[in-house]
Amino acid sequence: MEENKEHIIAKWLEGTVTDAELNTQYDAHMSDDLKMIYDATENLEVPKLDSQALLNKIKASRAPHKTAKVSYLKYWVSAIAAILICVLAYTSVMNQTIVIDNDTTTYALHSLPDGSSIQLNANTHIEYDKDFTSNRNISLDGEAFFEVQKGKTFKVHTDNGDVTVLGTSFNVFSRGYNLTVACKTGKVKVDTGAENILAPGDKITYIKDKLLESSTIDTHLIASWRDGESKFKSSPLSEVIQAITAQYAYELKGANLDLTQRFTGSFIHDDLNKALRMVFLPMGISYKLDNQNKIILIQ
Amino acid sequence: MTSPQQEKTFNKVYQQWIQPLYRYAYYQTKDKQSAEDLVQEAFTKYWHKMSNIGEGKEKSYLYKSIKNIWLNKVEHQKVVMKFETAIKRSSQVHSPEYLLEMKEFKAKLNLAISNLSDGQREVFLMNRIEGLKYREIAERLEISQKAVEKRMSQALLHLRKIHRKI
Repeated sequence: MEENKEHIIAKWLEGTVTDAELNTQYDAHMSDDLKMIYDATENLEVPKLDSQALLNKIKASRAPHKTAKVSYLKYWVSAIAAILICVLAYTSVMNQTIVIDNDTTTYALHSLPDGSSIQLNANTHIEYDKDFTSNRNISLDGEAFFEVQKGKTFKVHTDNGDVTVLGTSFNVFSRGYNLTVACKTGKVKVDTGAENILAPGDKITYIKDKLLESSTIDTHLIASWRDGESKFKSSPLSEVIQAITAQYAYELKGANLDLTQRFTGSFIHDDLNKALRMVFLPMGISYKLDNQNKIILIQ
Repeated sequence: MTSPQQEKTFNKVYQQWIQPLYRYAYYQTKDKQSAEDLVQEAFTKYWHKMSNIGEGKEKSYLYKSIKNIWLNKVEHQKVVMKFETAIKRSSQVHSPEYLLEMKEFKAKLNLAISNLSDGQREVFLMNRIEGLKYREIAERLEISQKAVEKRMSQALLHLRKIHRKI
């Protein structure tokens, strides 16, 4: 009952319940008081702000660009360090698996115990055992660029297949049913049931475990996402959509879309509207943003 | 993100949100100068963190920063808010007694609003001063609409209690 009475007040304040209805719940004395408070707070205003003056002040107090970047990097490094310490503390108790989640929309650099390095794109998750140096196995969900130190076999497991190397650099994209591996240096073996060996500049794309295409790519285009722009060369639409979803945390939906049609081009990482235009305009697909982080695609 | 782009985004976000954020800061600090300082600190922090904040997340990030920075300030003075009352556009005619009573009442009310709990005050003023819908308030503060409703009605009941006491 009390709850319901409060509910009526809230509704009345919002204007969705009339004075008459309020009067049915409260006696005249009470309703009059409430109305008086309502009237008295009708035209309140906070002291005026000179927003331009404040903006100038903020800009003056902001560190110059260069230092800003350095200090940003410092935060970033300390954030990673903090995550690592937590992860390490956790794993020293558990003595098991190390988990790295990059939930941000920018990419993160991670060094492995054997001296290899991984650059994780947005929304990417990796896991590996604590004794990584003796057993170079790593699980990946998302997209990452690997630079592997020479040594024992280095294996990347994804839901869509395994990638095996000795010492090399390569990019793995594994999101949803899409798997694309591009080899930058050295040699890479991709195993999705059937095995394929990639040489530098080779790129291979699978959808749902089926080989879609094996092609060549300029090695400098491999893992271009590290420069703030994802580039594609005749990639299936499904892969492009997965990449946009991971980058911007928007869900893309469309009926009757041909997800195997190819896209060549790129999208940038810091402006959703531009990114959508860059991909869907040339493909002749119209799109609509709704306010629930969803994008509707119409061919 | 390159610097000119960052600058452009920053300016856009600033222009779009500075007024509601300043008012929100004022609901916390109850004082113009502190509110300005608070907003300045929040935007400076935002500038350094920009590349980590996804598009569309700026609003809730800034609201949250203002709240957190303020909560971390040690010295909270007891301050009574000073509101400016705009000329009433309402055509409703009130008796002189009502108007006089209203004038005295408003002075007491400012004190009472200043003494509301932080949660009740921010929600109440976002609705009464800015005319924000409960849904919009819930979205900005990342709380449920039910919570907004509850704080609204409790704020009003609380103000009424104080009004009766005086």
